[in-house]
Amino acid sequence: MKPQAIATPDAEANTAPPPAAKPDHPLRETLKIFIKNKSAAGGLILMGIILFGTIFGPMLYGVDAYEMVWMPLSPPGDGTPLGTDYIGRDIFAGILVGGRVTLTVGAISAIMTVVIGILVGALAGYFGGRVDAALMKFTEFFQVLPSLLLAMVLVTIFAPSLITIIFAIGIVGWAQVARLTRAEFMRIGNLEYVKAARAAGARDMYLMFRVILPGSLPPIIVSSALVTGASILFEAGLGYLGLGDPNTLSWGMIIGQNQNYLLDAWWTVTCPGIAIFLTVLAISLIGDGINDALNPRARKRA
Amino acid sequence: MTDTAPFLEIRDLSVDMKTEAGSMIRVLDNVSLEIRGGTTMGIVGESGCGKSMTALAIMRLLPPGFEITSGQIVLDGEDITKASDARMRQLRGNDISMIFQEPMTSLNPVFTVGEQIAEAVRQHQGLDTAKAEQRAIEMLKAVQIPGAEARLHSYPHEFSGGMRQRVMIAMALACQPRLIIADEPTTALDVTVQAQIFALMRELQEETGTAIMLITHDLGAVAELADDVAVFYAGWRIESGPAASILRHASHPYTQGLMSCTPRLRLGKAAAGGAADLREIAGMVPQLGKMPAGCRFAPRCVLADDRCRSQVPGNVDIRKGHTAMCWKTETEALA
Repeated sequence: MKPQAIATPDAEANTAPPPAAKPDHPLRETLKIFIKNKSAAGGLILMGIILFGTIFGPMLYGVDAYEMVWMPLSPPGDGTPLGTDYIGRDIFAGILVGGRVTLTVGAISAIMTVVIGILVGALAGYFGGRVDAALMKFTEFFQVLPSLLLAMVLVTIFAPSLITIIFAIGIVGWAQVARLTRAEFMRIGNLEYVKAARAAGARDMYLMFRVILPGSLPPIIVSSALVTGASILFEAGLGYLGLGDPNTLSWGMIIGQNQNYLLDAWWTVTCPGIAIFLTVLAISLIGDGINDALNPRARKRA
Repeated sequence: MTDTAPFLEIRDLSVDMKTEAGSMIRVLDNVSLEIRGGTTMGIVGESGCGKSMTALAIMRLLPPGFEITSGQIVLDGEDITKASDARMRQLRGNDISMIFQEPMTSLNPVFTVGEQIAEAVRQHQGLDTAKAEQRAIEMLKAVQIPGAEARLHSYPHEFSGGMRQRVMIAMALACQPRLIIADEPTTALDVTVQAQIFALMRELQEETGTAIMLITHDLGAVAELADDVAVFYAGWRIESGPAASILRHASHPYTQGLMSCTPRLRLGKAAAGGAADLREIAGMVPQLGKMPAGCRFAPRCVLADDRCRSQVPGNVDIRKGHTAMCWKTETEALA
């Protein structure tokens, strides 16, 4: 550093990057970075198409997914765009309608998973000691349970309604989010800025959710995206096993019902399978994009 | 602006640490301190001697396992060792602020500096968002950050270490506290930046009349800033008094030792023999829980005799307001 630097703080400031003339609102900046990220934008577009298709698709397409409309097991293009299933229902209509159940169940149970996970993890990581020990024992209990089996038992005991399925998926998935949150809280809780905030008179709740949580969000968001994907897969799995709500159609159920005809009519399982794949892919891409956009250190390269 | 009445008075404060085995180890032993309003008290000592423990005890933010076992901390007439948690939260940030050692990690990386300063003001003074932001700009200007309006929206990683420490000071001052505890505020900084920060702190103290408790192991910093000094060793406050008196007439052998450990710049002829001038204090700070019977400094002290090794020395007045906890200063004074 030049000797003049002692006298003027300005000299030091010159070494720092020049501030933008009119800084954007942080949220808008985050959004900008998110959009610039090609894979994230791709994921967002894909997700948009899927959401549009499931929300408005059945109305626009106008074919009843529950009615026999054509010859059973007729291939795609032969009367229907994606073929028909074993009792002659339109697969495309089924995918459009089934998406509603799959996405709703996936999203709500993912939210449930993440909320429970963050709450348990935050309490355990923040307070430590006995609270931590008790909560972690509780978490371990859920972690060692075979999740699919537990969900199957829950759905079998109670009626297989949407609410039971959401509850079953939510209750088996939160353990890993809780562990991740706890680890992040323990790491960040020891950093100076948390001590500084405490020394500035912050309460426990404020420290947990306004000081520590924002810093620990990036890995939690990525994990949430994975959890959402996993929840959708889980729902599909339950549907495939015949444990879905019998009154509604979901992607997993279409696959499950047609599995016997897999070799004769590939489209009956492949098309809903692709729908599941694309949805989970879109969610993962969005999750990664959010992670990059939220991390202030990653902003420079954007 | 200098008050004569002590703003913060610590009387015979002891802090104990609970060990894994369940026994108690004394980490701070009957420490007394007085800080007058508008003045700076320098707390000096090696690592692990209880400087930071004293600070955390004042904030009532001792780590788990540590507790205040006796003594009083009187802040403006109120004994805060007995204050409720709610009252302490009120005091923290409002009346007492703390500046931490590491400017690099003391700011939350996910919020802009403006948000962080404004949040502190909003919480304590109940200002609305616009006014809090205005106050944040004022504070950034007060700590001489150029282009304060634009820098408000910068993230901590966009600042250098010195600038971050300025932001920390701005945050600490935002609610106009009456006592600032600065725990080695410049250890992580360049000497040039260090000088700027000290100048800034002194300037702000003159403006606001806040009392500062400066924790440091750097006697240069003490000479620069402090009005009074307390020297800590192994959980004892072994010497205290006005800074000028201590720096000129250090009485405790440990303080004298510390002074001779401080490197000085010499030019010309003196530089030839300069290296020999820099001395060290032989030995280590005794381990907690394995304190020697008499004076805790005795094992490292060149003057120590049998009495030093068997009996705990009392406080001896050297001159007005200057005391040392040593058997030897007494005998020498008498002789």
